Amino acid sequence: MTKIMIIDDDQDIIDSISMILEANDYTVVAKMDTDDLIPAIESENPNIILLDIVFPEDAQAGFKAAREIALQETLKHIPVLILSAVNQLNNLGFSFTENDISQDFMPVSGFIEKPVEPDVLLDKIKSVEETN
Amino acid sequence: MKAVSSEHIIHCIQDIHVKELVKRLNWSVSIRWYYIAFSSLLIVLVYFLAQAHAISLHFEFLIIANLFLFCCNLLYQYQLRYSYDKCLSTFDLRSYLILQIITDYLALTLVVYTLGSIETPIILMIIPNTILATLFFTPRQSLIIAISGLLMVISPLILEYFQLIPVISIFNHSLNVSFESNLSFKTTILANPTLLSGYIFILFSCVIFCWYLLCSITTRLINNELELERSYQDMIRLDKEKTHATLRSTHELKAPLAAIKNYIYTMNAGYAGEINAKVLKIINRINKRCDYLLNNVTDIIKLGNLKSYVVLDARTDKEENNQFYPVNIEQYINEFVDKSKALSCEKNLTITIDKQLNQSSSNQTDSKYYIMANDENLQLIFTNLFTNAINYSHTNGIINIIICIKERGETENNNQHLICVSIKDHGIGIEQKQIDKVFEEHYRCNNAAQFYEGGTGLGLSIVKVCSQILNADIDIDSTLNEGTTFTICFKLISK
Repeated sequence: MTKIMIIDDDQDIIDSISMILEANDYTVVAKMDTDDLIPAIESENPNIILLDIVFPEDAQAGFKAAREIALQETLKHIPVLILSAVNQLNNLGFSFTENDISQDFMPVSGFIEKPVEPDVLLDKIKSVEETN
Repeated sequence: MKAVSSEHIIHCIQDIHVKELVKRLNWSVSIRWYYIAFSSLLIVLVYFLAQAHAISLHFEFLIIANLFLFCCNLLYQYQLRYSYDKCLSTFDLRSYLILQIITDYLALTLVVYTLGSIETPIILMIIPNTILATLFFTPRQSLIIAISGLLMVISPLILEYFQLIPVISIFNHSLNVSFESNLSFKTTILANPTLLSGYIFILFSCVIFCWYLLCSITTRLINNELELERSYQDMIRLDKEKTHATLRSTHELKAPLAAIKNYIYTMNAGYAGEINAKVLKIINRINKRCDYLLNNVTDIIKLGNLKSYVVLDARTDKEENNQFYPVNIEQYINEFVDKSKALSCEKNLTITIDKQLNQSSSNQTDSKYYIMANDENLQLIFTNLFTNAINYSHTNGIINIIICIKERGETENNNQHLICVSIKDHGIGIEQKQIDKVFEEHYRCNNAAQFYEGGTGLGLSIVKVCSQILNADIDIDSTLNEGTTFTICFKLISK
């Protein structure tokens, strides 16, 4: 059974996404901050990580966490999907698209914009599962 | 004769003071070329006049001074080209300026000795270099430069006084007639130490007065410039802070809405169990209100960013041309319509594209219609106009997209070709008295608000700012209950 780790500071997002994933036979674990992230991921050993970008303590904590995960030999194989409310298509000056994904800047496997429809979320996860 | 193109040099040197310094160095070299040409012509003329009148003039000194200036100026011109390649620092450029000033003073000393420091006002030629020195050096440095220059150019007078060099006077013979003592005006002054000291004192006073005047003006200008630079830096800092704050506020405003929407999606998809019809109706109303809030928040932030771009970055980007690139607008519209057709399915709308491209486009025979733009702004313009056309059309209606070429006369013989894209709906239309207000922020016509409640009243404001950024003209034509046509015209470029 695929284990998905949701790292998001919003309990409602965790709950609503967990409902969808658990109903589709995924195991879900969650973490609400990026403190001691590496040991937490090592201990849970998830198959996929859903990672928020903006956390209360740092607006770019998600990016930093993604880079940190990519640097770990034991964790870099785990696909990370960015899950954020910062719209990638709104030309806000600080927005980003999947074209920005790179090993240096944004070492992740994909981008999911919040709110996410169940079908879109499941398709994205399935495609990441297939790729990996 | 222009020495080296300032623009070329400025291209690689960003610092504002360095830019100014390079401009003035160029200016100095150019002025020197003009001076050499003019004085050479004058030497030839005066040579012939001197034959006919009793003028005693050492032409050889003037020729030497001109040759010296000519050779040095060639070297300076080369130095400027070198500074273009190497992007020299302010320090190096100032050293060049000092070198140029010393050269001018040396040549001027010889000219002053030849033409006379007392009889002619040629000594005042030190003023232009004093101006340059006050512009680019500290007041103390510029004072030292001005006094050194003056000492240099009056040195022949002092040497003449001590009889170390022969006394030369341009009006030697003619002045002899008017002075009973058989001495020229110059020799009279040279013979009287009090008069000579007085003359030198007056010269020093004049130069110091000029220096003081220039210094006070340039100090004020430099202070103003520094103040402007500080304000500009503050603006940049504030803009960065604002962008950061916008990111936070976007997240803070969108995150709770995203969570609510996520629950709605989850419930609608049946993950929370069965929902009865009444609850489902309420959920759908909540969903619509959420969409409205999300759109509103996004549009407010989008508009804020676009306006900030117009104020802060647009001019720089236009100058550096780093924001826009050629876009084949005909191809863009085709692709846009293909991608956006799905939006019109809900209302079963028919989309037609009518291309009227060969009417007056004599120079556009290859069917490539390029404009300078970027994808972000084009997308905002056409998404908003197209979405409006859909939202305010009746079910089973038609939306016509018309692409045509127009000419706008800029001058009598030079017409600007424009490519105009019209998006025409046959929907609810706008009352004539309200047409002027539709680009205002948050303005919504009553019939529009009743017909489609999801609008934010910001879409057309965004379109207006985007068209302003792209230097495009936007026009609206509407008749109530018949429909609205938005036409946006871009300047065509040749590619």
